[in-house]
Amino acid sequence: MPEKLGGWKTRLASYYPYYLIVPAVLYYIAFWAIPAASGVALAFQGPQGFTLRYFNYVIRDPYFYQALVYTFTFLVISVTVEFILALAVALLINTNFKGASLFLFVALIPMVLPEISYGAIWATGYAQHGWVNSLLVHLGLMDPRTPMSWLAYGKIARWMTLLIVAEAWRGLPSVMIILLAGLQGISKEYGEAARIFGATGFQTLRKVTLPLLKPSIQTALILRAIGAVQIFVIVTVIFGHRNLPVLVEEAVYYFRELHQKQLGAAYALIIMGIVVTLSVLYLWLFGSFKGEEGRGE
Amino acid sequence: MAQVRLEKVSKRFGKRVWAVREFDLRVADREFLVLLGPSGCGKTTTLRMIAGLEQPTAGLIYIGERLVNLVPPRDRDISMVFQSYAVWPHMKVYDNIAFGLRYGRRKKGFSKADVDRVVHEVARLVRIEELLDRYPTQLSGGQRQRVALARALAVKPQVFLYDEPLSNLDAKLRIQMRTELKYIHEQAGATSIYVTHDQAEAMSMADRIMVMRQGQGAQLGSPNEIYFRPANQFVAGFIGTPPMNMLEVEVEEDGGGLMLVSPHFRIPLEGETAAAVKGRGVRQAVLGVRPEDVAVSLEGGDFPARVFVVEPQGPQQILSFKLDEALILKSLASADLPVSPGQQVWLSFHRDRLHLFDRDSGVRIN
Amino acid sequence: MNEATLAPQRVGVNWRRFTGLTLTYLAVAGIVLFILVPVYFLFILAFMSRAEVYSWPMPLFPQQFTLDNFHFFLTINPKIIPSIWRSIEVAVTTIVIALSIGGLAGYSFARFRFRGKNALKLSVLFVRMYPGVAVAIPMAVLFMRLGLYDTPFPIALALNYGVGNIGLTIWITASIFLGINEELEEQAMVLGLSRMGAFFRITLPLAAPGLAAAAIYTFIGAWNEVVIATLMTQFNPTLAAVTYHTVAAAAGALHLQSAGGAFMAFPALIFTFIIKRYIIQMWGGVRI
Repeated sequence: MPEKLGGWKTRLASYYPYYLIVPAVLYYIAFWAIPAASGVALAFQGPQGFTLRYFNYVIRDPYFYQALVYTFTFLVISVTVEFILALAVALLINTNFKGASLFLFVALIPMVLPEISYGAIWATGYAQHGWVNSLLVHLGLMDPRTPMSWLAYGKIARWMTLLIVAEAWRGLPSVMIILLAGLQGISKEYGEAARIFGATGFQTLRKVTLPLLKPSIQTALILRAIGAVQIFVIVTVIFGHRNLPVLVEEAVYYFRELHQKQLGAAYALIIMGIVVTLSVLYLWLFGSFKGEEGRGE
Repeated sequence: MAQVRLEKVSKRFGKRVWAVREFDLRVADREFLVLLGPSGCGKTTTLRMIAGLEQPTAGLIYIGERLVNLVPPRDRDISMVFQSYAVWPHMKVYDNIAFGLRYGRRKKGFSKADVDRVVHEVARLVRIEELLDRYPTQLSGGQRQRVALARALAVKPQVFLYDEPLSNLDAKLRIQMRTELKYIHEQAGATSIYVTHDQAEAMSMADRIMVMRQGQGAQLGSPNEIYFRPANQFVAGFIGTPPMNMLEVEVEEDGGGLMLVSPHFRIPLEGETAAAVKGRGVRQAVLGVRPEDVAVSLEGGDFPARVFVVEPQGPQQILSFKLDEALILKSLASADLPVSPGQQVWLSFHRDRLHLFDRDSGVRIN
Repeated sequence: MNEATLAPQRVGVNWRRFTGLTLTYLAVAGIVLFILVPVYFLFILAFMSRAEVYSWPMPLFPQQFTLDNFHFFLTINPKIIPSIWRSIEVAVTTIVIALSIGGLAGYSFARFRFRGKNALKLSVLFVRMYPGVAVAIPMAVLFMRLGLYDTPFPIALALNYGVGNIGLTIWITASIFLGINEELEEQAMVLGLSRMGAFFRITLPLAAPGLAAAAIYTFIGAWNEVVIATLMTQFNPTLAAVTYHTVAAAAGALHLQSAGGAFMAFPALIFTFIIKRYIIQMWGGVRI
């Protein structure tokens, strides 16, 4: 009989953790799972049932091809550039120096600035008589009679460079902070031990620091990659609509401007596919951390 | 007034892990009982079930005559001192101590003046009166410990529960607090149940000790019983530093008497031990000898051995003897004995303090 | 260098250390300039007179400060003033949704061990990474059917922001509650309170600063968000949406662009400064 003691009351109490989660789960079902599922339906459902014609249309659209190429070019170059620069800076400042906390606040600014402010900064900067050229003139690096026309139409390579610089401004601090956090999690003694056993600074970096930093490197890379796939606002603010097509822009364009919600949904699914691939990669790489939960007690 | 009784209490975590299994315990009124065991033995879980912070999977828990399985912690008339002290950082020391008198069941019947009186009374008892206006962040670990103690005392509970309360203090303070805790226990006149993994703490404070192992009781007894008559090999090995020497022996009959025989020595068995062994017809056993019961002499003894390592301990020294590749025997000898590694000496075992255990079950034979 | 001057015997200048320090500070100075110069121009352009904005080359230090550009920005489109209020409504509603629903779940994550916890945690992360457009477009279609699309009180937008922010809030609040020792709560339960009582008397006061920071963080996110806002509103936009259309359509109008950008930036920057300690913690607890 003692087995039964407590009965329903104890059992009810053991469900406590679940009650607290139920609202969140219901919310996700209502406002995430259902819309996401209906988005899939929207993209595949033609007047006569299942269809691929929206995807077909999207894929034949010359803008889609451009958007895909530009988005991916941007992704690869900008993530690489940001990562290398951020790693260099993080390694350099991974020591105590005065004013560190203020420096961190400064590094936070580009991250928390609204995208519109970010767009406005670089739109006003890259204008022919904007602040970038003015600054260059004041520094004596540019002849005021022949200001650089950064945004000259159709110079895609130059535009891409401008975009990468702007995005480095926004993304570099966040990458740097993730890497710094990782570096600080590495006991200094590992590096010191390596040096005692005769490694040079560079060998220590390659053989000790970087391998230990791997988790942070992965986080930084993949978070930035997911962000880069979804680039949109900055592109339209600097270059105008559809002058440098990117994927999200196309989705928004079809949905909002042309009221072609099926095409918008198809685009959204394609973007989702890319992001999910990257996310799964992310989760897979971090599978090694799952073991931590089992600890304690 | 308040005895505490556990009947066949079990606690399972998840599907398979049994933290406590069919555990019985009876703590007498005003007794100081220590639950002692290595980490993971279920002692803290047991304490938390008595507190009502965990629900037993099966079994009954009584405080006084009341079955408390379904009684929430707040109505059990208990106090608890946690390992982390759990002193609330957002309240002054005074408010921490007064908490139990202001909220919940006990607030009835306590006027503001009453609360004030009790707070000062207990604060005086644990000697933190001058700290009442401070916030816990301004206190040292030892002071926080006293606040936790005062808070537990203020509500005048029937049962005090202590969950390793001294383990976060430094060694010196720990020994001082041991004395104070014992004094406070006597002053408060309540039942105390104290969880620790520190045997010295248990020995010095307990009326009785319950040694736990893998969720079950291994032995219940007074500190002296536990030390001098361990009920099994586990308790024998767990209590005492350096730990008891365990030697595998054969029992041989030798002209009416009994001999304990190992490759290294032969010792005759006498008295009631011999009778017990004979009565059971034991052929093989494990002989337990505490290091202080291994006498070292330069002149003669039961058997010779070579000194392997010498570890000075002030007035005493720990001598190790390597009997064979897998067997090291330790002795606690006086520091006056002039020995050095490699030297040959004679060892003899204190005959009245031999512990014999069954080789399979580990249960005490004599 | 201090150590060298304090040392009783001077061994000589430690050139390695000196170069190391110099490089560190150069790197810091370089990156600080790289970050701050553009922000500086955003704000001075917004406060410059129009004549100065369009002078060539524009001055590095404006001669006179004026609010004309902000006035121009705020009056160029009649939707802007009401949209400010609407942005606040969206942000506050999002905070309420995220903190109540996400906070409960976060508490559960922090305090209990239960089956499916790991899977739930990862799914939270997954939902957060799901691209906004992929949910916003079908959601907009759904809300159109329900008659909730583009309503004056932007409930649809708040519900959408809730999705991402609940996940984030679960993670943040779980770590806040984890940082509060469970024994503090248990002690209160032993001394006379129920679990809920212990939560309100002990845990909530201790968690309050962290929860406030989480709320502010949510506010910044909702205030800043633009892509979903442009998708889910038409006649009742948020400030971000209407500013986006204004700024994107005003190529070359530097005074308007910078005023809009600066106006949007103020709340984000001020709030970030208030909770900078917490944001840094969220980003992995960097302590240089």
